[in-house]
Amino acid sequence: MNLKMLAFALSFLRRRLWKNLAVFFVFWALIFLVSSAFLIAASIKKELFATLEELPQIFVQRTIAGRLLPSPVARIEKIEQIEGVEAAYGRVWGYYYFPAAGVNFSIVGLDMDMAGFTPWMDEILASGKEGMVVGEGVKRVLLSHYYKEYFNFITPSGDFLKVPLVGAFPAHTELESSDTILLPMQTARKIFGMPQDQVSDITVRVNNPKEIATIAAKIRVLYPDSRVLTRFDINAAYQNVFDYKSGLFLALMLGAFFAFFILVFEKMSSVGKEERREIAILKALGWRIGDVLRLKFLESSLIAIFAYGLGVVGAYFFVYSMQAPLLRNLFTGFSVLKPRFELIPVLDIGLLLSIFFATVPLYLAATIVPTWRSSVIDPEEALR
Amino acid sequence: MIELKNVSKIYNYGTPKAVVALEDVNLYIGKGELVLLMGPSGSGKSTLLSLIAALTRPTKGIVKVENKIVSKLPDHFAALYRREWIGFIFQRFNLIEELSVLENVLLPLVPTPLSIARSEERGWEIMERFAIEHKAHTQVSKLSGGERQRVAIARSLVLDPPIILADEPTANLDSTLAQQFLLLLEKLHEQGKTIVVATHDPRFESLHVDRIAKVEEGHVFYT
Repeated sequence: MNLKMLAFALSFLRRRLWKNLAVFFVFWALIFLVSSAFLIAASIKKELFATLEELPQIFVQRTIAGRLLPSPVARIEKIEQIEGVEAAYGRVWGYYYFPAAGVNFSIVGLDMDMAGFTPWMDEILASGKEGMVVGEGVKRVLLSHYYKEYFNFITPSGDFLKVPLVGAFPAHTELESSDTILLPMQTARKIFGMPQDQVSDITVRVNNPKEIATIAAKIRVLYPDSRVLTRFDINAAYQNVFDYKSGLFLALMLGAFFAFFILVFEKMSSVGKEERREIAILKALGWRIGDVLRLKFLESSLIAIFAYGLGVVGAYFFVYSMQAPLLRNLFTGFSVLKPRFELIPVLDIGLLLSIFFATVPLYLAATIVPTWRSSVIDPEEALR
Repeated sequence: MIELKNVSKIYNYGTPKAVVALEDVNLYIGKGELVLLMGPSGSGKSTLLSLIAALTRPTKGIVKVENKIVSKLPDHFAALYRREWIGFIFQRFNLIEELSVLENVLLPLVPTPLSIARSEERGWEIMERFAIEHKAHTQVSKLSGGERQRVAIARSLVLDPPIILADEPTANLDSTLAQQFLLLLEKLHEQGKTIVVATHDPRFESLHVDRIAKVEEGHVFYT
């Protein structure tokens, strides 16, 4: 690289300091906002889909006219007899409305003999404490209503059911567990008034993950009134939610993009009289068109690359150090109880390259094209 | 050395706004000569210099320098020709106002293969020669008219070109500075440079010039 040219590019940038700083700031802000949004989305997706990997492979729900109904326990045994099914479990779960806070809790009843949850869950079960384990969101709501050690559920018969609070989920799981309460299945039955021969739905584990779709189809044949969901269906549903939210955010970002494109268009469509004169002076002094373009390319590159670099670094700091105040709410509003969770750092080279190629070359072209158009004019014409 | 054959220059050629600047000009300037192009404003003197410097192309005819046709050079080679052969002192100096004196003087050296250190050395040498080294880091916009002219001259000579073209070089100078400039031209002439000065300043007639050409309404005559 011609270091003299680089030194002169810096001198030329210094001359119109405020104008160049304004361009730099717009560019930086665009990169910062877009990178922040994509980093938050990537981080949430990473956490969510990592958790979804731990979900049961197949869910079987009973429906009548599209309405969910409890499933008979007898179906569990029948499903277990399908070839390729390793095990089937009945679950008791549902929503519990807490009117004082105006929120719904998701209650999941657990078979206390069934191990193999996450290590922290197994630890609570092994401690022998009978009670409920709650998500951070539930814990916050209960504390704000002075329920520190227990909570009184109201059963369908109108009686109080006092359940001790024995633990809370670790903070890193909060995205998917914020509004969740785990408690013994028998307790859940009492809260929902569900008889012993029924379960809310059935989960199925298969021997060979490649057979998930086939076994799901067999269950549909066996119980035509059932809705059979696989882990992939749930993944797709979450994917849709996040794509929808990312799309919403991008729609909001259109304003920023619009400002950027106006800047680019303004640069593309015109070179000021003063700049034209300068190009003519340089040519009169023996600069070739290529030399002039090289100078302008270096000037623009310095602005664009620094704005891009600082925008990305700023976004990483904003998202992962500051935990993206304000912006993350756009992506996490899907739960009734707003989850608090740590955004896990993600280094997605593809994403960073996409943002780079969508902005930097565009800006460079916007500078080079009008410079080239001015460079091909006779210097005398521009100097007259 | 410099030869113009049947050269015409018409601005806005082929449009209703066409203006004839030069018409059928024939001119020869020998190597090492100091030639004055004298004539009133708008007579075509500046256009003639621009044609010699390949800053514009003639509408008709050819311009030769050292037996090479420079009027038809593609843009790339025209720039190289200017870099190697021409030092142009513009009437309005054409300095880049927001850059420093040193940066302006170094401008012609930037696209050359000369190292930064060698370029700066050359820049300082030429600034010392024109007594502007103490202003090296001053922004050009803060200089007086005389200082600006010295910067413009230093810049035009930094590559040591064999041909110096000066367009109304004393138009913005007081009589003392104009006199100094005339002495400088004589010195450069003694060094063997080919010098063409476009002016209507009668003080130039006191110089030991080789020839004076009158430029009137686009025509050129040797007197």
